[in-house]
This record gives sequence, C-alpha cells and structure tokens, in this order.
Amino acid sequence: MAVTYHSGLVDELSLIERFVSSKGPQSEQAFEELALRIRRFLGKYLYSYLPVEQDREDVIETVLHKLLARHGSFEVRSVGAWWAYVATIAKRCAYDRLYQPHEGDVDDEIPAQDIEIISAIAEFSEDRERLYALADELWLEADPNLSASQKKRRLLASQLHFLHNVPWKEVCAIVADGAVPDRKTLNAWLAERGVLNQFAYHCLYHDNDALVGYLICPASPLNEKQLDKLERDASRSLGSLPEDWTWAEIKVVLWRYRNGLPTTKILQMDPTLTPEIVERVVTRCAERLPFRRIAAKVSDAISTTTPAFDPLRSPGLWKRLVFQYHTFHELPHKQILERTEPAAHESGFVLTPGMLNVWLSNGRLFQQLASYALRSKEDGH
Amino acid sequence: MGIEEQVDMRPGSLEILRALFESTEHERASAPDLEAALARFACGWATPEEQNVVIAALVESSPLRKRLIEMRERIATAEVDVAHRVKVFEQDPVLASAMKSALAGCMSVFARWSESCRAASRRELDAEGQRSLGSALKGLSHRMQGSALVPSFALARGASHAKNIVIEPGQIRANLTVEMHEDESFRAEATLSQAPREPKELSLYLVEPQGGWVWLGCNSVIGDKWMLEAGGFSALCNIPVHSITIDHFALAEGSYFQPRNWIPVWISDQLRRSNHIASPGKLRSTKGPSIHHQQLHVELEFPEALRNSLEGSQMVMSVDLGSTSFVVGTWPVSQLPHTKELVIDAALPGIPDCELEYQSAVTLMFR
Repeated sequence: MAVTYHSGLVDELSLIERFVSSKGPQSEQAFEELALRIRRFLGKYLYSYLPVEQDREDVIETVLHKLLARHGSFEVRSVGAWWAYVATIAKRCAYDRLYQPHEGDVDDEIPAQDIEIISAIAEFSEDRERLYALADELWLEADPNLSASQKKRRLLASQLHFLHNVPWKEVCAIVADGAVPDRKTLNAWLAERGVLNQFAYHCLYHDNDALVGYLICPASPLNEKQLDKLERDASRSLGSLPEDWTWAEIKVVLWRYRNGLPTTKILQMDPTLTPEIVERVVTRCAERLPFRRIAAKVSDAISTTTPAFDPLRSPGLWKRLVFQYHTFHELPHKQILERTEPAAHESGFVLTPGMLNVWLSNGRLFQQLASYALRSKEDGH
Repeated sequence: MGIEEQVDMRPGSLEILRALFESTEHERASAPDLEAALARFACGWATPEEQNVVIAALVESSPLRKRLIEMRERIATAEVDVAHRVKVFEQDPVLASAMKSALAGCMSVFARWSESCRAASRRELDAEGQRSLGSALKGLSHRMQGSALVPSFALARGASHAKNIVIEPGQIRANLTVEMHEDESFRAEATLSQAPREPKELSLYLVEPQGGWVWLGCNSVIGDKWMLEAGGFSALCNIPVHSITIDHFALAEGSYFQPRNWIPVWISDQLRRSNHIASPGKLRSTKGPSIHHQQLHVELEFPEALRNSLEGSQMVMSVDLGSTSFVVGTWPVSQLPHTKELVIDAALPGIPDCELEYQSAVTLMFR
C-alpha cells in the first residue's frame, strides 16, 4: 500500500493561497494558521544569524508584520517558493537588526530545482511520521509499497524471533493481519534487508528518556514518570536519591542525556557544578552506555539466520540513527557520536566526527532525503 | 528504494531545507494505558485500529513485548478457571477481563450465527429434503471428525482450488463465490459441473491458514446450484471480515449439523504414557452443551473404568472458537463425583443464554 503524499501539501498551499488571494477574515484566519508554522521555521532558520533568542523573537515579529503588510504581493507558485520568500524577508530583517549591509547576499535567488526540492520536503516536515517513514525507506531500505502497519508487523516478527526467541508459530499468530503467515513467509521476512535494517535500528536507537533511565539504574531502568519526579526532586535536592548517585551528579545526567545540553550550558544552569563533576559523570555514563553490547547482541542474533547480510555494516543504518538524534533530539555532534560510534566500531563500521560534520553540517543527509522525497513524489508513492 | 542520490543545492537553499527539517513538529509521545488493549490483542480480540496502536507500541518497547509473551503463555497454558475465579484471573485482572470479554463476544455471535444458519438451511429444504438430511446426518458426523476432514480441506484449500472445488474426485466440481457484507453476513453460491445423481449436501467452512477452521453452515444442492446465507461469522476466527478472501473458504461434501451428543476428549501424551490408557476420542453427552443463567452446562457419560484410569489428573474444559481455545474450567478428577453421568457447570459471566450447536465447541482435556 503506497503512502499518501498529498494532503499536507495541499493544506499548506491552500492556506497560502487563502492568505494571499482572499480579503478580510478569511485571509486573517489563514495567516493565523500559517504564523504558527512560520514561527517554528524562523526559530530554526534565524539561529545562525541571531544566536540571542530575544533578537530572533523580535525579528520573527517583524517578519510577520511585513508578510501581513505585503499581503497580496506574493505570487503563489509553490510551497517551496513561499518558504524561500519568507526566508528572504527574514534574512533581510536579521541583517537590519545587526546593522549589517546585505546587498547581494539576500537577493541570491533560489534556483527552480531547489525550490522544487524544498516544496517536496515542506510537505513531509509537516508530519514527522511521514518524514521518518521516508527516512526509513531511504536509509533502512524499508519497502515503500508496504503500509505502516505491515512494516511494523514484520519488524515485530523480527524482534520476537531474534530478541525473545518466540517459536515461529507463535510469532506468526501474533503478527497475523487477517491471514496468518506461514513459516516460509516468516523466513522470507526475516531475511529481508529492510526488515533487518529496521530491526538493528530499533535495537540501537534509544530515545533520551530510555537512555537516561538506563544510565541511572541499569538493573531496573526508570520510566518517564519516574524521571519526571527525579527531575523535580533534583531541582530541590530532596527526595529519594538513586543508589550510588549524588544530587549534583543526577542533575548532570538529566541535563546532559535527557535534555542534550552541552557542558557549558550545564555549568551555566547550576553554578555550584564544576567541570570536574561534569567530566566525572560523563566518564561514568560512557562506561554504562549500552550500545556496544547491543551491537554485539544484534550481530549474534542475525548471523545465525542470515549470515549473508549484516545491517550493522550498512552506512544507511548509521545515517538513519544520526538523522534521528539530530532532527528529533537536536543533540550536539559529540553526543550523537557517543550514541553511535561505540556500536559502529564494534561492528567494524568507521564513524568519525568528520563524517558527522559532512552528513549534518554540510547538509548531506538533508539533501539526500530531500532528493528522495522529490523522487518518491514524482514516482507517485 | 534506498538509493542515495542527491543534488547539490545552493547554500541559501540548504539553509531553508535544514530549517524545515529542524522545525518539524515533534509531538511528545504520550504513554497511554496500553495494558487493556494489549490483553485484548493477546486474546486475538483487538479491533484493527487497536491492533495498529498496540503493534506500534510493541516495536518500541521490549518490556511490553515481554508482557505480551507472558499474556500469550497464560492464555495458551490456560490455567484460567472462570468457574472458580482463581489463579490467573485474580493475579492478572486485565487479562482476565479481556478474555471474558472476548469469550462473551464470541458466544453471543455463536448464538446469533447458529440460528441464522439453521434458518437459511430450512428455507431450502422441503419434506423430502429434510428426510434426506436426517438420514445423511446419521453417518456424517463421524466423517467430518478429525483426520477424515483434512483430505476434504486439502482438496478445497488454496487459491487454485478455491473457485474450482472438487466435490467428487473425477466427477463433480463446483465454482464457489462468496459475497461478504459489511454487517459480517455473507452469501455463498456454487454452481456444480453437473447435478449430483443423489441428494447431496455441501458444507461451507472458513479455514484459517494456520489450520483452524469454522463450519459456517450447510445446504442441499438443488439441481446443480447450491447456496448458503448466514451472518455474523468473522468473530469466530481471528480474521477481520474485510481481510477474508475467497482463499479462506472451503466447500466440502456433507453436513456438520452434529447431533450434539458427543464431546471430544483429549488425554495428554504424558498421562497416556504414565497411566497406560488409550484416549477414548469422545464421550457421549446426554444433555448440552448449553448456556443458561451464565453457566455452561454439559451432561455426559463418564465410564467408571475411564475415571479410574484418569485418577490423579486434572480435567480441563474449553470452548473452542475457530482456532482460539478458551479454558472455562478445571477440575481435579479426584473431586469429580463417582456417578455414571457427569454434570459439568462452568460459570461464563456476561454470556447470553444459548444452545451450542457444535460438538466441537466444547472439548475436554485430561492432563
């Protein structure tokens, strides 16, 4: 079953059209809806121009006023052209704020091909599930012809088989979607590259809460609610303290691994903390990180049934992980490496800060995904 | 799929692209209480929407997968005693609730469904037909049991046979079409390659790919035409109505209108070996199975010799719905009364009164 691609784009495009072409309340209502998205977009877009949050907020307000004032002057061609238009106005306003000349730079026209790609990704960026499904197709080789439910059932089958040693008949009964798959079908699923890549990805990927919960208490990882309580307790240094930790250390663990804060920010958050304390906690946590062990386990599990293909050596797996940690958790490069490099090393895949820089800072991953989005759209998936 | 082509975008374009990616709305995943939905899923009783929610959660959570495995083991080993409300139900109230709900749902469908099957058959039968049916029933119930049934299905199963089914090898074939409706009713029609020389009845079965099967009804062939209409059947198997295809249906000669006077009996291998006994296969039931006042009631002959050979074991009664089996009661054989006739009552809370039309609906197992 193909993924439906068009509703989000049509919605955004029709909003833009309503804003530009209508008058009165209709246009205002459309602008109100667009403003939310514009704020989010500019919050990120302006970061490199205006690192101070207050400056960004002021400029965003100015941009919104300008857009409203120039209502009707934008020619609606595509969503990509709209975001290029918004970005250009924002960049001019940012330079004005910084009292810097901006002739030439701002008027750098976006090529039509780039506009097309931006249009394609604008649609997906409205819906994270679709964006990540696309990333799964590109880097994990997930089958675009399967529905989300079918993909998940196959993934679940692999987890029950490889991780929990559930007998094949029981696996088939659990993942049956109407028809119960037979052993031959199950075996075929378990040998699919897409399924194996997704299996490895789901083993290795830890969201922040899952990781922090494990780091604080590996024997019985804390869940989200317990972490929320611990965070409240840590702010007052009161309450039940997990074994072998001090409140200062707990604060560091939570801020670093739950919120992804770098050391400088952590030291700003609590002046009583010292670089030595942070370093000590990071070293201790690094020893507890589960990724190397998980990689070995995944490799062992898969090698017994499908020795011909090792997903841990596939660059796509690591790109997908890096993309997730970057876009979803907004982790700094150093922390992304901490969560990926040990497992990659264990699997014989070389992952370096330089590669991460190319993938993220140079926008390699974004461009790859954007190109794929455009191609998928053209192919009608 | 998986081709990492890319274009070289201008730096200004890339800035916009990056901002779009990074400003993607991330809803913080809430953690709904999945326990009840997971229990229904474990029982095979979750709706398609619920299945999707549960599966999405399962792939993300190893503890949840372990919980599912635990639930499935409890259901399979079925130390669930509805009648006495002990053990699993008290230890695992969420699972107990899901199982009761599944059972109640199945049973209510059972009652509706059997009635509509009977009505559908009666409409087509004149007095002569009914006499033929009565005569045929005498011999047919045995034929449809156990392994005798398997070859019939083997002929009828699979895509290549589903529409062109062998009724009499080398002679009569039938083209089967089944029209399913949103209200879970269906109309099945078959045209035979030739009219049978003798009155013939055909039964329609729903066959689950893993081997479970459900008898859907039977009707007589009139000329070279056969037809059956009934409703509310998908709840009896783990296949949602919209997922059922023609491949799930099998047509076989004979009727499965059983006389409700035999209860299948299974004796565990271990017990057979240790007590040196042969499984009797079935026991004659003198009354039931039926459900009255939320009690499953069965009366059956229980020979003293068999009883003695089973001393020390446990009797487990289950209701089989399609390929799903629900244990409704367990009793130590030592505590069963020393009478020739055994009366069994198992509590089935929330289930409407009905007569169970199928001898295979209730099974006894000794272990």
